[in-house]
Amino acid sequence: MAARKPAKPTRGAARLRVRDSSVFLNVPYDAAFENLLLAYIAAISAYGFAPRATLEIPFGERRLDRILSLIRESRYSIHDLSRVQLDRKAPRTPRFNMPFELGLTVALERTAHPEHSWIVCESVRRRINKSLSDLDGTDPYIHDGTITGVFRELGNAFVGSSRQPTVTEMSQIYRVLRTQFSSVLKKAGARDAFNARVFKELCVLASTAADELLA
Amino acid sequence: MAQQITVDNSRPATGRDTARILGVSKKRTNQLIELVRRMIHKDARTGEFVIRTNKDTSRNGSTKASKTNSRRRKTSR
Repeated sequence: MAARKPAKPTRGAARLRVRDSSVFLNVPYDAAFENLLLAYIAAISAYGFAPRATLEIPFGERRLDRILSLIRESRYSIHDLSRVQLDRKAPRTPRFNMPFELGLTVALERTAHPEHSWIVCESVRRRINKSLSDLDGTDPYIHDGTITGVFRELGNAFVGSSRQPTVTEMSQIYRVLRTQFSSVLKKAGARDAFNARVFKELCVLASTAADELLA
Repeated sequence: MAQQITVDNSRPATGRDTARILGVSKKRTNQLIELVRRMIHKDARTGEFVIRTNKDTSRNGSTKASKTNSRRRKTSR
């Protein structure tokens, strides 16, 4: 029997596959965290990934289902558990969304999606031992609540990546985001970055900047 | 030591890939890409990338339009 002919290469088959490539970003959505959100977007894009967040979820959809599908669609996830304080609005409460989404991620990774990788970030050393002692044995990345700290720690987390942007290059991407931030807000009629349209446009800006600076 | 993320070494996502993943329209994606390209320039002399912001940075410090807070505070004492 004749050997089967190799399949004819299709257009674009020679191109490399796009990196398997979303990073689910689990961070607090408050004004004090805006700089760090931009820093995370800049750093994730610098490593060639597309950031995803629950900010994308439209109102009206069943939120929990969408969160689960976002985590499932993402190959990696970053969980920032640095916001453990009570918020300012009455009734004053801590925010449970971040640890809850980390729990969902761990459950998915241990059951249906073992290929999913996740890391935890914090701003204060050893605080997580008290705030979430179930994670004992998992060392968090400590970013000290600074933009440079986020760049440094994601550099440590993605140390195996073929693309290795420097902190200076990540800062340049951050600067692009900062410069365009007010115009993106204005176009979206939004007040802050915690808005679906603003988040998506910032991600596109950051990925384009990374492509220009690092390609 | 904190666990590291093992990354496959396929092609990094471009701005257009990210836009497709996130569902940003083609028209808006083109606008955003154009904005970024206008901001990033390679210095022909040093070969380094320069980010151009809209702020005018050529102003001389001595012709500052407004005093700093600390200066105002000193004079009001």
